[in-house]
Amino acid sequence: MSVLREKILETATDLFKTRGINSTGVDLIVDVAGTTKMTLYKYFHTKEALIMAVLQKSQQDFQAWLDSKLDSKKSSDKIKHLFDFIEEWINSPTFNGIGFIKASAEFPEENNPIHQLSSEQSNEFRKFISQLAREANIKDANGLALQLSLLFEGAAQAEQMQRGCGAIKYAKEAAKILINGAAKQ
Amino acid sequence: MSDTHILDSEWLLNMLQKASSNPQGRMLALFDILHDWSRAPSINSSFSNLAVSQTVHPRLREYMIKQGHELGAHLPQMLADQVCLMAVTAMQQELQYPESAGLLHAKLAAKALIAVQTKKEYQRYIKPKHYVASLAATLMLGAVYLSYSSFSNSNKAVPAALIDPPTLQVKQENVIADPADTAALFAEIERMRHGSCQLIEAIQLPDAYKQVYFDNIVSGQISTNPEEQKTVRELLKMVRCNYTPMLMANSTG
Repeated sequence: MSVLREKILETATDLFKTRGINSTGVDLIVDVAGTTKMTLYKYFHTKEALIMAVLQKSQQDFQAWLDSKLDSKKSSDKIKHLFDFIEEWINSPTFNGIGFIKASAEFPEENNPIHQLSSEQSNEFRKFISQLAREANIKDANGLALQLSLLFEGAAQAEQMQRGCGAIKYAKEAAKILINGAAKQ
Repeated sequence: MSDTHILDSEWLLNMLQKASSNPQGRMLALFDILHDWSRAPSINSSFSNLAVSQTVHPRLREYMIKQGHELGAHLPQMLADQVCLMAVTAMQQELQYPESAGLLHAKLAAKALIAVQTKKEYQRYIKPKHYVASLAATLMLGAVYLSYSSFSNSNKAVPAALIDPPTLQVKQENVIADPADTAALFAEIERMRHGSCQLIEAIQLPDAYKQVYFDNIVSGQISTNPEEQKTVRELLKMVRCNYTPMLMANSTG
């Protein structure tokens, strides 16, 4: 990947996270990245394409980090540790929200491609939890995945609005109750 | 009635009030009522754009916060916000994938959250007023710009611990980091004293990092614990410093 493309992507990611997507203009991105609009549009034809690339990269990074953490656990135990690692991610000094949750709130119209991508990423994450539930022999894996993803999204949204508010700790404990309940079925 | 107002309607609040004689029942009834409502004719295809911030449903939010207080929840506002958010997300999920029983699962998740929020042993997590106070404090503080080079000239607005750059001290820990790493951190902190640095807002850091931040970066008491040093290095990445001499920076030549 081109170094300049990488730099633009990294700058846009930081600015979108700290200032919001809609309130970050292309002018600011090129200023901070130390490049020109022409270069930005060479790699990303539109601002929408840049937002989509940022969302994809953010989700890939989050998922890769989570996978690497869960790799150290037994397959059947991974779901029990999921919220420990999500808590670690949310409590890290650099946490500034989950990309697809923020994007979904900023682009609520269902036919908007950015909204559609964030919905797709939310569904993918739910499928990932569902897979972990199946590996733990949970009977209603999809149901538990839906419950846990709702807890995760609610807590992440609260934490991105107010750092250290404790939402993720409550969600983690609630997740334990739900996982134990599902395991008994 | 507009779809986007259903969650704030008098009708919904009346239905919730009638649903149960206890606050938990009234809170959880939201999911059952939305489930029934979503099955009503002509509704299914038009429930959209409700993923917007909870602030667009102030009456429902207020009602749910009241139930949270009656329940004795540790953080009634947080509980109310999360329950409302889960209900809206689950409603959309259920309309998109009716077989997912989104609202039923959201109700189970809300029930678990209520159980945790009303359990005595979890109260240690957070002080009850923190959820409201942290936002107010963040807004009041805004961006905090501190320059090491100007501490001695503007000490009225600076916390006492920051007025005189402290002598660097090493903490005694059971696990000792590589001396080279400790020396590198000393050098980095010492270097910051010769530049103009924009420190991070401690209020935004999770509690676990605040003490590390104050001890190591603000007070200069570098820990010899490897884990703590790792955190310090992460935090240092967030501090932006300018080491250009003022004369050079102001020069137009």
